[in-house]
Amino acid sequence: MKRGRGYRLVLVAGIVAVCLWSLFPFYGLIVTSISPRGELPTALFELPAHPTGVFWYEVLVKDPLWFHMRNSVLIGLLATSISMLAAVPAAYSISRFKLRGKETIYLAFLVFHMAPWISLVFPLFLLIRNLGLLDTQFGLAMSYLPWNIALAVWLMRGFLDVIPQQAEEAARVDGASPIQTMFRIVLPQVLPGLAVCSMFIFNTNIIEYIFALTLTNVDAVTLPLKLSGYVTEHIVKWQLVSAAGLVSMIPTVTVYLLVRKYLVYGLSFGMVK
Amino acid sequence: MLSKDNKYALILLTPAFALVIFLFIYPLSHSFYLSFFNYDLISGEQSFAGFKNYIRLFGDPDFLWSMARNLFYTAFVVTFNFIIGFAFAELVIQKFPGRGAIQAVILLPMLLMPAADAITWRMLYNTEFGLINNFLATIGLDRVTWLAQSSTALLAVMIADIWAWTPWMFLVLLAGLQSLPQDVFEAARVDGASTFKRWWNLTLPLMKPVIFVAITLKSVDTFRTFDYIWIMTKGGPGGATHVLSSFGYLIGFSTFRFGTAAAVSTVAFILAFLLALGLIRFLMRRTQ
Repeated sequence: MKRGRGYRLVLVAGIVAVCLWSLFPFYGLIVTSISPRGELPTALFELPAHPTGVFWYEVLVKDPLWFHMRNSVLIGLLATSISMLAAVPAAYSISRFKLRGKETIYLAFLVFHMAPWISLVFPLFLLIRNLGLLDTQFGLAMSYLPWNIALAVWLMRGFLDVIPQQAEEAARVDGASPIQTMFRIVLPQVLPGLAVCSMFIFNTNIIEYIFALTLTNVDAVTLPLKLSGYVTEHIVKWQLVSAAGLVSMIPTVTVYLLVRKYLVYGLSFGMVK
Repeated sequence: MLSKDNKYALILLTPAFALVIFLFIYPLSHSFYLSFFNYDLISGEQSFAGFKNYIRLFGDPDFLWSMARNLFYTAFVVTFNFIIGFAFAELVIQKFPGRGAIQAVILLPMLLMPAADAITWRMLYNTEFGLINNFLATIGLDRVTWLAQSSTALLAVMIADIWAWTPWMFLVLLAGLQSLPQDVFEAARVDGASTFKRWWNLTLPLMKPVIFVAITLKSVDTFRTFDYIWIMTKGGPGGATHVLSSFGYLIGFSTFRFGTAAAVSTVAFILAFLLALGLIRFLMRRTQ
């Protein structure tokens, strides 16, 4: 197919626009993170005259983010594993059995997934306080479960619905119980789906803010909350927070790299189909 | 009498049910219950209030504005997510060298955590050294106190949100575009249909289900926005950027009137539910 000059022009303009739009805030972050105190550039393409690494040193070594990153990752993993253990059998049940009212159950999970966080912030705060779990990793992970489970049921049903069922029927005829069939025959066929689903859930957990703000204080403070802690009413440590913001991309970028190959598969089968 | 299959189906559903009842249904009911009481978090005093919390809220212009602003915020942000995300998806679906790299560049904003997005944009809007004001100064315009004046603060927060979540919209639409049947387009091309005609008469109608799901999901998600507003403006200046979550959160955790806060969250839940109804009805029709 022949493409004209106009086409190529539009294409190049589009690429330039995309790069400008996506990258200029990162340019701001990088420049700020290496500018000395009181010497932030005030002109457009001005670079710091005396670049410094002290803020990177502080964020990586002196007052490290690792503690908070560990919290984020542990809480994220905890909530993700509990919710997958609960949600995968539920999704399998909804996908395969002729249970009366199962579509209603499925839609109820969808409603849970869409509930605004604010609708549970106050009662969950009271519940977790009464359980004595405020400022603990487990307490915060608990508050993620309702959303996690709902999302997992929804996505996993999408993956399960599209895999062929002959092998399962054969196994059932041979006398395997539905639970054996699920583990031995069905789940191995949806491994990419399981991976994508866990990664999506894990990612929503490590970037979560409002429950971390409400339920943690010192010991269980996660990365997003630590970041917003650099910003107070009167003083903002711009250089520190810029360096920290960039460092905080480590877990999200890792998730992205792990799931990259299956992203489109995950979105088109789990969500849209 | 349950059949054997039904028994298994219920056993498999039980763990998820138990957790959801304990951590969703029970708290939500508790919140609904609390919304009919005066409940002070600090003293722990609780007294029946009937509909007073709701009456007070619906007589409070700040609450009504938060509600209206929340809906406007959702519509505005999702519209631009969609337009920009679709344009990006159409760009990446073209065949050119380096499109993998461009796709990664488009996704970058999503890899920065929302809290970091909010702080970054606060910095970009800074009057003295923010990039946006540096740009305005370079082309000879006045610096703008974006987040400190009520005429621009909401727009400024919405732009940050649009920037951060357009990659999500892009991904879903790209997945949709990649699964379109190519032969139909080939046929249309042979018949001499122009690029725009092909897009309008083929791409859009074929993409309709994907677009519908993407927009509804993004709307529900944007409707519950909290991080950007809380970190960038805390609802200020003078309440000009409050939405339901920030308004309710402030009542709950700075005045500790949990009864009123619970009433705000009940209203938020009902509105989100109505928004989601569209999607749910659509999915119902499909599964039947």
